[in-house]
Amino acid sequence: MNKPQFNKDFVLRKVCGLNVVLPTGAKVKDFGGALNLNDTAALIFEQLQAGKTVEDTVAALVTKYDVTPETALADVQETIELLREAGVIA
Amino acid sequence: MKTEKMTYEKPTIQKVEFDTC
Repeated sequence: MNKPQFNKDFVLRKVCGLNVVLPTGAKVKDFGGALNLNDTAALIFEQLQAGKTVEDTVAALVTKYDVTPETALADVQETIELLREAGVIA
Repeated sequence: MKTEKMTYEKPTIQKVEFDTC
């Protein structure tokens, strides 16, 4: 079971058709901005934040998109690293 | 019945810095 731990101070919102991850509370001033995610990254974010495993997330991508499990897994892992660098994942 | 899958786009994340909503 591989479940990244999300910082609860970040929320995903749909703003004017864009997927935007925003800091809340005290994080607002520390973070100093927001993250724009494309639809694929937003699906990964939603799955993982809901407590799904990396494997579940890969399965969700493969079900919805024309992508191989190998590519999906590599992209999920890369997205997790980007979110970790941004402080969204502990 | 076969379900049509959506075209895959590599996930992207862009940081937008805000200051002066």
